[in-house]
Amino acid sequence: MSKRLESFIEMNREEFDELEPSADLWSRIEQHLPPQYNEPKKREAKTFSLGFVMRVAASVILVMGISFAVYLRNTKKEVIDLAAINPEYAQQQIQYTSQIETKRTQLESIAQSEPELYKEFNSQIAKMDSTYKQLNSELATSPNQERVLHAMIRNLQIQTQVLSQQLSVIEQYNNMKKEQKNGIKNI
Amino acid sequence: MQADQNLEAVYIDKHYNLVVECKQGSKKACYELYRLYSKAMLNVAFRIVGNIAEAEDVLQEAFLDAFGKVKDFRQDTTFGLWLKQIVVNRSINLLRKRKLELIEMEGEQLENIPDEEFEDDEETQLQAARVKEAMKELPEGYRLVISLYLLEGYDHEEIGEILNISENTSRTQFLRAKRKLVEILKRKGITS
Repeated sequence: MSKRLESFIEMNREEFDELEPSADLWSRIEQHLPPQYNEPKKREAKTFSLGFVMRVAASVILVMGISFAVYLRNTKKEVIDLAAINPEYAQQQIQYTSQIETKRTQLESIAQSEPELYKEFNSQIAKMDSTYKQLNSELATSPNQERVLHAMIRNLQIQTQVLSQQLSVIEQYNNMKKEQKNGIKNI
Repeated sequence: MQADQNLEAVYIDKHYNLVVECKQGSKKACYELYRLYSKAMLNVAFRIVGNIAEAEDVLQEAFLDAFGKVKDFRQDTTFGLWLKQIVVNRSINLLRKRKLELIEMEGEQLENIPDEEFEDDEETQLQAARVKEAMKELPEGYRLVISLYLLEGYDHEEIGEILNISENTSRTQFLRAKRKLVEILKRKGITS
């Protein structure tokens, strides 16, 4: 019997657990649960509130939008590879832009002493520059990119010439002033 | 427990994460654990205290005790085994309060109790319901040892610790209990 009883119980173990707890036992336990189970704060930390989810969703959308815009910009820039349209023009474009850059800084040096003159000269250049920018934006979608690019180069060329003239005018003007001064001194 | 502990070595607690959630203060996780273990634990308590109302009280207190100190439970064993320990200890404390002389044979000579085989073994038709009925007729001390050993799966060393008796006493008490149980079964005409 000895081992038989053991193995019998082992085989029929489940049948020895026949009692069921009464239905209201859990509610009795629930009433006395330690306070850590009834703090709503902890619950909230576990399940995200709607507001939090919305905020996360909004920031995700924002980040996606920004990165898409950046992506678009980058691809646009990539499309306008000037050297691919005409390598000669591309080189000229770089040349002229750097020339214009230096000339414009030279021009800026008179902004203090001759503000009226500077304003006048600068507005001429600004007008041409805005035309250049317009051309540049047309370049991406233009069916004849080479023509547009050519127009851009012409624009830069003219800008350079105008700037050179402006600078020489300024130089003459300055010389004149010096001579006037000298003349006064001589008298 | 021999079988349980072997399983223990092989399987990790499948309700591990539930216990983690419970530690974090989730009442829902606590309820899930209650749902999973309440029935088995009620039966454990009942076999020890021998009374359904008291068994439910023990169960309630044991669960509250467990949820209260689950944060300190390092989960180096399963929640089930840990909870069972609480249930068993609380059940036995209840018996002690009733001033039951759990083991009245301390110091008694370990006169050999033969672990006899009964000749009519083959004809003995065991039925779970009858064995349960017979167990209810056992003196409390006997029922306790036989439940812990045969049903809750503790070995004699563990029973010794739980009941604060020697391992040998537990073994002797168990053999006596088993002999008594077989007698009851026979008397009830289970053997033909």
